[in-house]
Amino acid sequence: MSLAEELLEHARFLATLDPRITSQANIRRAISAAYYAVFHLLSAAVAEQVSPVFPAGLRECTQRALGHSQMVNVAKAFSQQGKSEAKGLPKGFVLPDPISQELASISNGFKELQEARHTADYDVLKRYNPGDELAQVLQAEKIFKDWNMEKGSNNVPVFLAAMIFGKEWIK
Amino acid sequence: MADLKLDQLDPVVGLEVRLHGDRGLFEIIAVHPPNSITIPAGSENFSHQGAEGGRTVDLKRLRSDSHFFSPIQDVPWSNLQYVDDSEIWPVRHAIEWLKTNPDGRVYPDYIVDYEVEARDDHAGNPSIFVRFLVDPDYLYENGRASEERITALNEFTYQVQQVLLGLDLDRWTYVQAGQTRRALDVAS
Repeated sequence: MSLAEELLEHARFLATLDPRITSQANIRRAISAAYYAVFHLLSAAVAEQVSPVFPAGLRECTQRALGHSQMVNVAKAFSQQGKSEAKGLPKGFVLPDPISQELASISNGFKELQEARHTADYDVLKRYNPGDELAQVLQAEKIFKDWNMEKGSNNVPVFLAAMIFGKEWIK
Repeated sequence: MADLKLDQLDPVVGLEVRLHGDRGLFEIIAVHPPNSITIPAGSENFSHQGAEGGRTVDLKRLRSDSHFFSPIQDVPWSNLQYVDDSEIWPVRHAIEWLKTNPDGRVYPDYIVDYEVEARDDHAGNPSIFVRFLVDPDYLYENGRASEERITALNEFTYQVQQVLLGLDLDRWTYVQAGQTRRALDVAS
């Protein structure tokens, strides 16, 4: 089981605890784990695309190079279903296909989850109700399902490359 | 399915507005298509008839410094000023439009209210946050949150997100959902 899958399973475990005995900490950790499950799903896919398996460890180092802010910028650029262009791509570059519903959903979900994760981890004024976290966990699960459908599409190599090289493309 | 564009934001019932030259706050209670002007009956002592046969609305005064409280009829759209600041009103407007179930879209009846807030997100991006407030009785089944219903709610928020993205706002948009507070919670 990949780290992304383990994190998703952990998020679901925390989100489905008995609502009578769960805690703010469990709810917050569920949201955080849901985000990191998706973060590792996508960052591992980026590393797989741009780095070989050998020498050992190179792909993992590549994965570590990814940053949350660049990834969410790309997610925002790919969040509108049906568009054939995305902000941040090299000048004149056109996407092979219009953005699919799955890719738009993945992108929107990633953006929402990152914001939710930040609130869950740092906003101590926020008071959660049991059940609040389940929406985020289900959103993460949907991203995993959508990713399975979308990962072989023509747009995905562009989406993944933008997550690691996007800043450099502006040069 | 047609997208909503900023220049298509017609007045919709339920929006709060102001009128040029009037300090009061009004709610739109009816929207009339072009060339359907009615004669104001029992309206306030000034006329807002749509002189050019354009779209008009009927208004109900919400808060007032005046002693006139009758509905005002056939106010030209051009006389309206939206109450929200410029970042928020297109979003509120789009949601009110969605409430009319346009193009077969369904606005779920378990959503009891919504909030719109303009602020920066955690990364400092100027953003608009929409939060739909859901009746907790809808979300729970036998004391546990219903995954099926939350999935449907997530699908709805995705659809709203797509509508808002179509507006090409110069801000990031976040569409979230939360439970309304139960009366017991509020009292405690």
